[in-house]
Amino acid sequence: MEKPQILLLTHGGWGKALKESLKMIMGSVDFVHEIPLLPEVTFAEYYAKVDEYAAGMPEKSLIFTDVFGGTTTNAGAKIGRERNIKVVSGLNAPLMIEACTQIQYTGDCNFDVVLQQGQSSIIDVIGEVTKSMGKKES
Amino acid sequence: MAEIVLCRIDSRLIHGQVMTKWVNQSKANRIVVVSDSLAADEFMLEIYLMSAPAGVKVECLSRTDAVKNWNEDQFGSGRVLLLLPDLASMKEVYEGGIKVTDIQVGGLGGAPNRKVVFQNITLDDADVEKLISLQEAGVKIIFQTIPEDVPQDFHTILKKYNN
Repeated sequence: MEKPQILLLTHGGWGKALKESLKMIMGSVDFVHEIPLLPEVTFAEYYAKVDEYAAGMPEKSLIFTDVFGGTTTNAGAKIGRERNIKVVSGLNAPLMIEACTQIQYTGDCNFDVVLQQGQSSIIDVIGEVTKSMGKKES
Repeated sequence: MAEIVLCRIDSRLIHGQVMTKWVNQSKANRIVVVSDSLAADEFMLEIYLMSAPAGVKVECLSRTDAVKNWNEDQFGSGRVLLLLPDLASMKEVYEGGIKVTDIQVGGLGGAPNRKVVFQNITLDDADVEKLISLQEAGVKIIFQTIPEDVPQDFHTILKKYNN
Protein backbone atom coordinates (compact mmCIF):
# COMPACT_ATOMS: atom_id res chain seq x y z
CA MET A 1 0.00 0.00 0.00
CA GLU A 2 1.21 3.46 -0.86
CA LYS A 3 1.79 5.64 2.21
CA PRO A 4 -1.24 7.88 2.97
CA GLN A 5 -0.79 11.62 2.60
CA ILE A 6 -2.13 14.54 4.58
CA LEU A 7 -3.43 17.61 2.80
CA LEU A 8 -3.72 20.79 4.87
CA LEU A 9 -6.17 23.52 3.85
CA THR A 10 -5.78 26.72 5.85
CA HIS A 11 -6.52 30.44 5.58
CA GLY A 12 -3.33 32.18 4.47
CA GLY A 13 -1.40 28.92 4.71
CA TRP A 14 -0.62 28.68 8.43
CA GLY A 15 -0.64 24.91 7.99
CA LYS A 16 2.71 25.29 6.27
CA ALA A 17 4.23 26.80 9.44
CA LEU A 18 2.68 23.95 11.43
CA LYS A 19 4.31 21.45 9.08
CA GLU A 20 7.70 23.18 9.46
CA SER A 21 7.38 23.14 13.26
CA LEU A 22 6.43 19.48 13.27
CA LYS A 23 9.69 18.66 11.51
CA MET A 24 11.40 19.87 14.69
CA ILE A 25 9.61 17.18 16.68
CA MET A 26 9.17 14.42 14.16
CA GLY A 27 11.76 14.77 11.42
CA SER A 28 10.71 14.55 7.80
CA VAL A 29 6.99 14.69 7.11
CA ASP A 30 7.23 14.73 3.33
CA PHE A 31 3.77 13.16 3.06
CA VAL A 32 2.19 16.42 4.33
CA HIS A 33 1.18 18.97 1.70
CA GLU A 34 -0.41 22.39 2.12
CA ILE A 35 -2.65 24.37 -0.23
CA PRO A 36 -3.14 27.86 1.26
CA LEU A 37 -6.37 29.75 0.74
CA LEU A 38 -5.24 33.18 -0.40
CA PRO A 39 -7.48 36.25 -0.08
CA GLU A 40 -8.06 36.88 -3.80
CA VAL A 41 -9.08 33.34 -4.70
CA THR A 42 -12.70 32.35 -5.33
CA PHE A 43 -14.28 29.14 -4.12
CA ALA A 44 -14.25 27.70 -7.65
CA GLU A 45 -10.55 28.44 -8.16
CA TYR A 46 -9.58 27.04 -4.79
CA TYR A 47 -11.73 23.99 -5.35
CA ALA A 48 -10.04 23.32 -8.71
CA LYS A 49 -6.58 23.58 -7.18
CA VAL A 50 -7.34 21.29 -4.26
CA ASP A 51 -9.19 18.81 -6.45
CA GLU A 52 -6.26 18.52 -8.82
CA TYR A 53 -3.97 17.61 -5.94
CA ALA A 54 -6.48 15.32 -4.22
CA ALA A 55 -6.84 13.30 -7.43
CA GLY A 56 -3.32 11.94 -6.89
CA MET A 57 -3.63 11.10 -3.19
CA PRO A 58 -3.34 7.42 -2.20
CA GLU A 59 -5.98 5.50 -0.30
CA LYS A 60 -6.54 6.41 3.37
CA SER A 61 -5.11 9.89 2.85
CA LEU A 62 -6.70 12.66 4.92
CA ILE A 63 -7.66 16.29 4.45
CA PHE A 64 -7.30 18.58 7.47
CA THR A 65 -8.91 22.04 7.40
CA ASP A 66 -8.78 24.93 9.84
CA VAL A 67 -12.34 26.19 10.45
CA PHE A 68 -15.76 24.77 9.83
CA GLY A 69 -17.75 27.40 7.97
CA GLY A 70 -14.68 28.63 6.11
CA THR A 71 -13.89 28.24 2.41
CA THR A 72 -11.11 25.78 3.23
CA THR A 73 -13.61 23.37 4.77
CA ASN A 74 -16.30 24.04 2.19
CA ALA A 75 -13.92 23.10 -0.63
CA GLY A 76 -12.45 20.17 1.31
CA ALA A 77 -15.91 18.78 2.07
CA LYS A 78 -17.01 18.78 -1.55
CA ILE A 79 -13.82 17.09 -2.70
CA GLY A 80 -13.70 14.63 0.19
CA ARG A 81 -17.21 13.48 -0.58
CA GLU A 82 -16.57 13.14 -4.30
CA ARG A 83 -13.23 11.36 -3.90
CA ASN A 84 -13.99 9.37 -0.76
CA ILE A 85 -11.34 11.09 1.38
CA LYS A 86 -12.00 11.73 5.08
CA VAL A 87 -11.99 15.40 6.05
CA VAL A 88 -11.36 16.75 9.56
CA SER A 89 -11.86 20.43 10.43
CA GLY A 90 -10.34 22.06 13.50
CA LEU A 91 -6.70 21.39 12.59
CA ASN A 92 -4.40 21.36 15.60
CA ALA A 93 -0.92 20.13 16.51
CA PRO A 94 -1.93 16.98 18.46
CA LEU A 95 -4.15 15.89 15.57
CA MET A 96 -1.23 16.30 13.19
CA ILE A 97 1.21 14.54 15.51
CA GLU A 98 -1.07 11.52 15.83
CA ALA A 99 -1.64 11.22 12.10
CA CYS A 100 2.02 11.79 11.22
CA THR A 101 3.23 9.32 13.87
CA GLN A 102 0.95 6.63 12.50
CA ILE A 103 2.01 7.22 8.92
CA GLN A 104 5.72 7.37 9.82
CA TYR A 105 5.72 4.17 11.88
CA THR A 106 3.13 2.01 10.18
CA GLY A 107 2.74 3.47 6.70
CA ASP A 108 -0.97 3.37 7.47
CA CYS A 109 -3.52 5.64 9.13
CA ASN A 110 -6.34 4.71 11.52
CA PHE A 111 -8.89 7.44 11.03
CA ASP A 112 -10.93 6.83 14.18
CA VAL A 113 -7.86 7.07 16.41
CA VAL A 114 -6.65 10.24 14.68
CA LEU A 115 -10.06 11.87 15.05
CA GLN A 116 -10.31 10.86 18.71
CA GLN A 117 -6.86 12.26 19.40
CA GLY A 118 -7.71 15.58 17.78
CA GLN A 119 -11.02 15.84 19.62
CA SER A 120 -9.59 15.11 23.07
CA SER A 121 -6.60 17.41 22.68
CA ILE A 122 -8.18 20.65 23.81
CA ILE A 123 -7.53 20.78 27.53
CA ASP A 124 -8.25 23.25 30.35
CA VAL A 125 -4.73 22.77 31.69
CA ILE A 126 -4.90 24.36 35.18
CA GLY A 127 -8.42 23.00 35.72
CA GLU A 128 -7.53 19.44 34.75
CA VAL A 129 -4.26 19.39 36.68
CA THR A 130 -5.94 20.78 39.81
CA LYS A 131 -8.70 18.20 39.52
CA SER A 132 -6.14 15.43 39.15
CA MET A 133 -4.22 16.66 42.24
CA GLY A 134 -7.46 16.74 44.25
CA LYS A 135 -8.18 13.11 43.38
CA LYS A 136 -4.81 12.04 44.76
CA GLU A 137 -5.30 13.87 48.07
CA SER A 138 -8.69 12.33 48.87
CA MET B 1 -41.60 42.29 6.27
CA ALA B 2 -38.00 41.45 6.99
CA GLU B 3 -35.36 44.15 7.28
CA ILE B 4 -32.35 43.73 4.99
CA VAL B 5 -29.58 44.87 7.33
CA LEU B 6 -26.80 44.07 4.89
CA CYS B 7 -26.73 43.14 1.22
CA ARG B 8 -23.31 41.73 0.35
CA ILE B 9 -21.85 40.51 -2.92
CA ASP B 10 -19.24 37.88 -2.09
CA SER B 11 -18.10 35.12 -4.43
CA ARG B 12 -17.34 32.87 -1.44
CA LEU B 13 -20.85 33.33 -0.04
CA ILE B 14 -20.83 32.14 3.60
CA HIS B 15 -17.23 31.94 4.79
CA GLY B 16 -14.86 33.09 7.52
CA GLN B 17 -15.22 36.86 7.03
CA VAL B 18 -19.00 36.72 6.86
CA MET B 19 -19.39 34.40 9.85
CA THR B 20 -16.89 36.02 12.20
CA LYS B 21 -17.41 39.64 11.22
CA TRP B 22 -20.44 40.63 9.21
CA VAL B 23 -23.04 38.60 11.06
CA ASN B 24 -22.02 40.28 14.33
CA GLN B 25 -21.55 43.71 12.79
CA SER B 26 -24.96 43.74 11.13
CA LYS B 27 -26.72 41.96 14.04
CA ALA B 28 -28.45 39.79 11.45
CA ASN B 29 -30.47 36.82 12.69
CA ARG B 30 -31.02 35.38 9.22
CA ILE B 31 -28.75 34.84 6.26
CA VAL B 32 -30.48 34.51 2.92
CA VAL B 33 -28.13 33.19 0.25
CA VAL B 34 -29.20 33.66 -3.35
CA SER B 35 -27.48 31.03 -5.48
CA ASP B 36 -28.92 28.69 -8.08
CA SER B 37 -26.00 26.27 -7.86
CA LEU B 38 -26.00 26.07 -4.05
CA ALA B 39 -29.79 25.70 -3.89
CA ALA B 40 -29.41 22.66 -6.15
CA ASP B 41 -26.54 21.05 -4.18
CA GLU B 42 -27.99 19.24 -1.17
CA PHE B 43 -24.66 18.26 0.40
CA MET B 44 -22.97 21.67 0.15
CA LEU B 45 -26.14 23.38 1.29
CA GLU B 46 -26.16 21.23 4.44
CA ILE B 47 -22.59 22.32 5.20
CA TYR B 48 -23.58 25.97 4.93
CA LEU B 49 -26.61 25.38 7.14
CA MET B 50 -24.49 23.57 9.74
CA SER B 51 -21.88 26.30 9.83
CA ALA B 52 -24.37 28.99 10.84
CA PRO B 53 -23.54 30.62 14.17
CA ALA B 54 -25.94 30.06 17.08
CA GLY B 55 -29.07 32.16 16.74
CA VAL B 56 -28.69 32.71 13.01
CA LYS B 57 -30.92 30.95 10.52
CA VAL B 58 -29.47 30.26 7.08
CA GLU B 59 -31.61 29.79 3.99
CA CYS B 60 -30.66 29.39 0.37
CA LEU B 61 -32.89 30.37 -2.52
CA SER B 62 -32.50 30.25 -6.28
CA ARG B 63 -32.67 33.65 -7.97
CA THR B 64 -36.23 32.96 -9.12
CA ASP B 65 -37.39 31.85 -5.66
CA ALA B 66 -35.69 34.81 -4.00
CA VAL B 67 -37.61 37.23 -6.20
CA LYS B 68 -40.83 35.28 -5.66
CA ASN B 69 -40.44 35.19 -1.84
CA TRP B 70 -39.58 38.86 -1.73
CA ASN B 71 -42.56 39.90 -3.80
CA GLU B 72 -44.86 37.74 -1.65
CA ASP B 73 -43.94 39.00 1.84
CA GLN B 74 -40.47 40.63 1.74
CA PHE B 75 -38.84 37.47 3.19
CA GLY B 76 -41.22 37.38 6.17
CA SER B 77 -39.57 38.79 9.28
CA GLY B 78 -36.24 39.23 11.03
CA ARG B 79 -32.94 40.93 10.27
CA VAL B 80 -31.64 39.56 7.00
CA LEU B 81 -28.11 39.46 5.69
CA LEU B 82 -28.68 39.00 1.96
CA LEU B 83 -25.74 37.29 0.31
CA LEU B 84 -25.15 36.94 -3.44
CA PRO B 85 -22.15 35.50 -5.30
CA ASP B 86 -21.90 37.99 -8.16
CA LEU B 87 -23.26 41.16 -9.69
CA ALA B 88 -25.24 39.33 -12.35
CA SER B 89 -27.37 37.75 -9.57
CA MET B 90 -27.66 41.11 -7.83
CA LYS B 91 -28.87 42.89 -10.93
CA GLU B 92 -31.35 40.14 -11.71
CA VAL B 93 -32.99 40.09 -8.28
CA TYR B 94 -32.97 43.89 -8.09
CA GLU B 95 -34.80 44.12 -11.38
CA GLY B 96 -37.11 41.36 -10.17
CA GLY B 97 -38.22 43.56 -7.28
CA ILE B 98 -35.68 43.27 -4.43
CA LYS B 99 -35.03 47.01 -4.31
CA VAL B 100 -32.22 47.21 -1.76
CA THR B 101 -30.99 50.70 -0.93
CA ASP B 102 -27.37 49.71 -0.22
CA ILE B 103 -24.98 47.13 -1.64
CA GLN B 104 -21.67 46.10 -0.16
CA VAL B 105 -19.20 44.54 -2.61
CA GLY B 106 -16.96 42.24 -0.58
CA GLY B 107 -15.24 40.01 -3.12
CA LEU B 108 -15.76 38.98 -6.70
CA GLY B 109 -12.86 36.58 -7.10
CA GLY B 110 -9.88 36.98 -9.36
CA ALA B 111 -9.02 36.18 -12.95
CA PRO B 112 -6.29 37.37 -15.31
CA ASN B 113 -8.60 39.82 -17.11
CA ARG B 114 -9.85 41.42 -13.88
CA LYS B 115 -8.44 44.55 -12.29
CA VAL B 116 -7.82 44.89 -8.56
CA VAL B 117 -9.59 48.01 -7.28
CA PHE B 118 -9.51 47.69 -3.50
CA GLN B 119 -7.93 45.11 -1.15
CA ASN B 120 -8.65 41.86 -2.96
CA ILE B 121 -11.72 43.05 -4.81
CA THR B 122 -11.48 42.93 -8.59
CA LEU B 123 -13.73 44.20 -11.38
CA ASP B 124 -14.09 43.74 -15.11
CA ASP B 125 -16.01 45.79 -17.69
CA ALA B 126 -19.16 43.68 -17.35
CA ASP B 127 -19.19 44.25 -13.56
CA VAL B 128 -18.68 48.01 -13.97
CA GLU B 129 -21.58 48.18 -16.39
CA LYS B 130 -23.87 46.42 -13.88
CA LEU B 131 -22.70 48.63 -11.02
CA ILE B 132 -23.36 51.78 -13.04
CA SER B 133 -26.87 50.65 -13.85
CA LEU B 134 -27.54 49.84 -10.17
CA GLN B 135 -26.16 53.21 -9.13
CA GLU B 136 -28.33 54.98 -11.70
CA ALA B 137 -31.31 53.18 -10.20
CA GLY B 138 -30.45 54.87 -6.89
CA VAL B 139 -28.52 52.13 -5.08
CA LYS B 140 -25.68 53.21 -2.79
CA ILE B 141 -22.66 51.01 -3.53
CA ILE B 142 -19.68 50.54 -1.25
CA PHE B 143 -16.61 48.28 -1.40
CA GLN B 144 -15.50 46.72 1.86
CA THR B 145 -14.02 43.30 2.70
CA ILE B 146 -14.05 43.39 6.52
CA PRO B 147 -15.51 45.94 8.98
CA GLU B 148 -12.00 47.23 9.76
CA ASP B 149 -11.64 48.55 6.18
CA VAL B 150 -12.71 52.11 5.47
CA PRO B 151 -15.58 51.57 3.02
CA GLN B 152 -14.81 52.88 -0.47
CA ASP B 153 -17.57 54.48 -2.52
CA PHE B 154 -18.17 53.47 -6.12
CA HIS B 155 -17.04 56.86 -7.42
CA THR B 156 -13.56 56.35 -5.92
CA ILE B 157 -13.40 52.76 -7.12
CA LEU B 158 -14.44 53.70 -10.64
CA LYS B 159 -11.63 56.26 -10.82
CA LYS B 160 -9.15 53.55 -9.81
CA TYR B 161 -10.61 51.16 -12.35
CA ASN B 162 -10.34 53.65 -15.19
CA ASN B 163 -6.83 54.68 -14.24
